[in-house]
Amino acid sequence: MVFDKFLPVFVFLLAMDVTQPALAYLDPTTGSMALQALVGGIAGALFVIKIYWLRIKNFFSRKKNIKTVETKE
Amino acid sequence: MINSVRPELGSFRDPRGRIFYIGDRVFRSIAATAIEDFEFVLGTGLLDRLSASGKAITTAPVAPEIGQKFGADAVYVVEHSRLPFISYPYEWPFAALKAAALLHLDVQLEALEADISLSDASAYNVQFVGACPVFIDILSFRKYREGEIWAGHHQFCEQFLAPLLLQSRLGVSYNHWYRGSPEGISIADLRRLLPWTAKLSLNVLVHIVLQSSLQSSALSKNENKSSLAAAKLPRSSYRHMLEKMRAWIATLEPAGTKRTVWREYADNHTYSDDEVSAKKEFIARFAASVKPAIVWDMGCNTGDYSDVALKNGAELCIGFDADHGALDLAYSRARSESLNFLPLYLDGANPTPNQGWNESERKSLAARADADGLIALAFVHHIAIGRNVPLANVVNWLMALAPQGVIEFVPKRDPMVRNLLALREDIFPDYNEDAFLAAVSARAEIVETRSVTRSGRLLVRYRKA
Repeated sequence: MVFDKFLPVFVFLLAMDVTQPALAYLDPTTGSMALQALVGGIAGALFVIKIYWLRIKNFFSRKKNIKTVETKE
Repeated sequence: MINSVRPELGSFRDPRGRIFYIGDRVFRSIAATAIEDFEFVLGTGLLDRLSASGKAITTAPVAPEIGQKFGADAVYVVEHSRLPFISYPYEWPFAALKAAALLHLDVQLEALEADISLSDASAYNVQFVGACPVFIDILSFRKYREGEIWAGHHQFCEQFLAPLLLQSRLGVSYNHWYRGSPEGISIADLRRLLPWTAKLSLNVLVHIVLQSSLQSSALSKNENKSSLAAAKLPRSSYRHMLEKMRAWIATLEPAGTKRTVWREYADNHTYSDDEVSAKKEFIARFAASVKPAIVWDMGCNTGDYSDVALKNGAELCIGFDADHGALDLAYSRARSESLNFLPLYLDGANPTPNQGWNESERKSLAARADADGLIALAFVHHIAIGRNVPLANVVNWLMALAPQGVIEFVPKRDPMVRNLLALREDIFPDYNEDAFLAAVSARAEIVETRSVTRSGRLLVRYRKA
């Protein structure tokens, strides 16, 4: 996933603000596309987390199932 | 010749359509490759809604006999309302560029509601009618595809956001830089200039620092392009990006223009209220007798005399000035008082040249000079003495802009000219009223003159044969 690929870059950036020389042969919109891939990736990840959170919430709200979880663990 | 089809030389980047002129009417041909998107957009009624609210130019289908003139490539031809004046982002003052940026985002948000996206975000796709921004490139609209990214994001950042940030975060005007770099101000350059404190803003971090870093890292890693091409942005994130960008830009204010010399000139000038009234009365009489469709106000300052011209018979006023503080005041006045007035940045000693591809993509000031009237008050001495341009050359240049007008001559004994000469040698023996009048009468008839101040400022109204 593109998101995974750029995550280290993002972390690196926050720690260190560096710039590299630009060269030709690279579409000038590449940075914007990668940025939006990242935004899309984060939005997707948040969506997945939300879904799982809802599942967990539902799971615990149905009290009879608590035991099942404990036995599985 | 009047019925021949003339292509607009600046209209070539998008092969899906072209702008043409017949006489003074403006047409857009649409190629077969664009028909599907164009018909979809037409079907949603978006173009009608945008033009009804003044956000986009009006677009109407043309009669088949006109369509035939555009050749086989033109599957469809539409006519646009004619814009009275074309201006470029490097001529817009901060407040105008900001208004254009907000309009661009508003149009895009409204389009998204109708399942339409914009293929680019060129600042040249916005023009001004009076002081109101209008979106003109209807072929940028296309059917929204679920999950597509904001295709114009990078262009938006370089053509709108970066220039605005340069002025608002650093207090540096963008106009010279933008003129030299018509594609906009590169985010990599802006990033190098911004202090670390500016980068604490999440918006700056994401749209400037992160974007330019991802660009450089893609460059160094020879990134797999296909993974980027397949990138998906959920529709809600797309809309959120546009909304957040809009909210951010709405907060940007220019730094370093609050107290400029000319912004306060109207309050601090060296002549009396009587003298101001005399000047205004002269301009009012000129506007009332000529009734110019377009008047150019060279050295418009905050627009006092443009306002007089507009209230006395001029239909549209294009103002030019080199002071950013005065221009921002002039622009906000035009918007708040609904004046048909567009104030633009111009250094009179270095007017906008022809530039862009083949030096014909973006037109020079002279190529766009079709004013019916000219006002140049307290302008000549700045160029003649401030910039050493011979007096007759300044007069000739001004008079070439419009067939009739009013030019003010400020003599050497005036306090403002004395200021200009205070710290330098007077190398201008030919700068005097007689030489000025001789230069004007060499090109036109002098209709009226009036001495308006005790220092001997002279207003001259000319009319070319």
